[in-house]
Amino acid sequence: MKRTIKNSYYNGKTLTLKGRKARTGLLFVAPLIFGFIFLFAVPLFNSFMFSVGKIQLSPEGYSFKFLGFDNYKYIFFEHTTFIRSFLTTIKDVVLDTPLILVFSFFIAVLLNQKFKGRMWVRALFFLPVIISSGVVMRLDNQAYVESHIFHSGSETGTVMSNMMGGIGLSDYLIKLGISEGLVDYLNTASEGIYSIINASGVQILILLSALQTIPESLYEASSIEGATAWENFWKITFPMLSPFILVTCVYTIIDSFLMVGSDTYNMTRLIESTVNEKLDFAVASAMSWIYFVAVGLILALISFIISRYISYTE
Amino acid sequence: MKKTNTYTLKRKSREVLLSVLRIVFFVGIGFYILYPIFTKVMMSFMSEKDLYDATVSLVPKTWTTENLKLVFEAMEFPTAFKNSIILSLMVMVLQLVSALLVGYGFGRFDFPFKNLLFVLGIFMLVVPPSTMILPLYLTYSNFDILGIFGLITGEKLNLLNTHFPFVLSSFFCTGTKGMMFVFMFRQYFRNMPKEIEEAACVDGAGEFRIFFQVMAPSSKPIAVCVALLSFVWQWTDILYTGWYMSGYKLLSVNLYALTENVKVFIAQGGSVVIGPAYQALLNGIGTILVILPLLIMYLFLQKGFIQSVERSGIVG
Repeated sequence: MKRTIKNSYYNGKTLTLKGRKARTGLLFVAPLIFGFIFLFAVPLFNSFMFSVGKIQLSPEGYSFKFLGFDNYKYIFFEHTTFIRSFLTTIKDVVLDTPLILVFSFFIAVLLNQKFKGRMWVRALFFLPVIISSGVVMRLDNQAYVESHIFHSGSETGTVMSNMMGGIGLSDYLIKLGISEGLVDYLNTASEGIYSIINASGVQILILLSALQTIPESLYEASSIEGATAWENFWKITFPMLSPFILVTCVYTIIDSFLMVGSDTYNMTRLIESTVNEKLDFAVASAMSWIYFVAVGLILALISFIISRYISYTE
Repeated sequence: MKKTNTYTLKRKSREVLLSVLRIVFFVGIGFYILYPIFTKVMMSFMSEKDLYDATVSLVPKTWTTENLKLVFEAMEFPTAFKNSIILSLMVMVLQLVSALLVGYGFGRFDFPFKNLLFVLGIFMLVVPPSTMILPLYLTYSNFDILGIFGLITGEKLNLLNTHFPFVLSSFFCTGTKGMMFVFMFRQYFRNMPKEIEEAACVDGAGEFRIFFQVMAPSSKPIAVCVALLSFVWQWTDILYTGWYMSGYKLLSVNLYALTENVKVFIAQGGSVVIGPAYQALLNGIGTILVILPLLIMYLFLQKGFIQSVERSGIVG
């Protein structure tokens, strides 16, 4: 006797149980569907249209003229700072992301151990997420007050480099006979550390939660078998964390969009200044699309590479 | 004969060494994180001349609260504070509710195109805000869904300078990192054992009852996390608030424009020049004022927050 087992949502007259559950599911997810179509897909499409034309804003709306890829040609060949900003930003993203990942990983492993005051240190590391976002981050990059309070003499730079100069540390090091190049390098490294710490908050949280899902019994078993701590790390911790490394990586890259870097050559700043000061919307749209496509490619590439190395344990 | 146990001695000394290293390391990093805040707080009490005084490094020579008062008034703190609280609370609640609903849908149900929709949602996170801001601005200024409003009233709605753009973007998961909250809730609900749901079902609960009385209350830890993050990101946001509500007095926007506001305030019609050091001092005070509510909130919530995130399993 042949019997076809239907695994579908609809059995001809009414919805199956599976179908009814699916309908409830869709109901729960409805806000996202609505938001995606009207508040995302449509504006995204519009933004692409802007980038291939010319926009004139008027009180009732806007007028649009199709110009083909002229805007793109303009930004690549004629715009003075676009290529430089673009390459600088891409370089920053590509360089900073591994550093942030490694740092967060290291801190998460440290924080996972049991020691007194653990709660406070975790709270400490998450503090930058609360403090350095949005407005505060932008202002911080513009602040060079310390340079005046501490008279280190430099006009630009972020808090940390001026602090180093201010405490007199760099002068002291120079007096000790360490070459100026090295002291300069230390200053930049210190600045770098500062920005990495500020950017690592959420990543540390993600990796820490991930670390706690690794069962203790694995470590016990391997210790009984005679594994050293080093082997434990590479054979247990690292592979079990690999899916989350991907998640953290993607998050870091996405987050870098919102950060306005300390250099003057930074894409986000360029796009915003084009929009706010020059009011040249079409060109700004073209720029953001190039940026978006570039970062999308980087993301896809990284996801692809990392996925090959992920070992799933389920 | 008693032998000294060198094994435990070696182990104990190694542990002590590790602790010391650990303390040094964390103190060092803590320094990096806390130092800027500390500087800003100290600077708030300095008078302008202290900035140029070579002998003053951290502790002000002349303790004065006049700069504090100046910034407080130039930023229109009471009004801006009230407005910021209203806006941030509203966004927080809406994002929380929406992420809860959508995350539950993704986590516990199976429907066609589920994976595709989720990927599209993540895609929403990837696109830089600057790409979207202009079309979104135009959308909100001539807001009309499928031509309905146009038919009814004959002209389109202008939603700018109201709270509506934020209502819409937070409830429909398109706000600042909105999809990340959905992701968190989805992971959490995916890990809930089916037994609870089945037990409730056996007891006669329907789908919505299961949700309201069983699932949602148990997700409190994640809810706290999402609420905190959403509030903080909205409190310090200038991109969206600057575009959608340019006439509205908000703390974040006022902070960004602080230098101009102070100039206007002092000058009262004339013109004033403010040196860069003093400008940075004012910005510092403003920053502290803006962050202070967040810090207080964080202090209260931090314990529950961090514990909850770990216990919840955003991951795994």
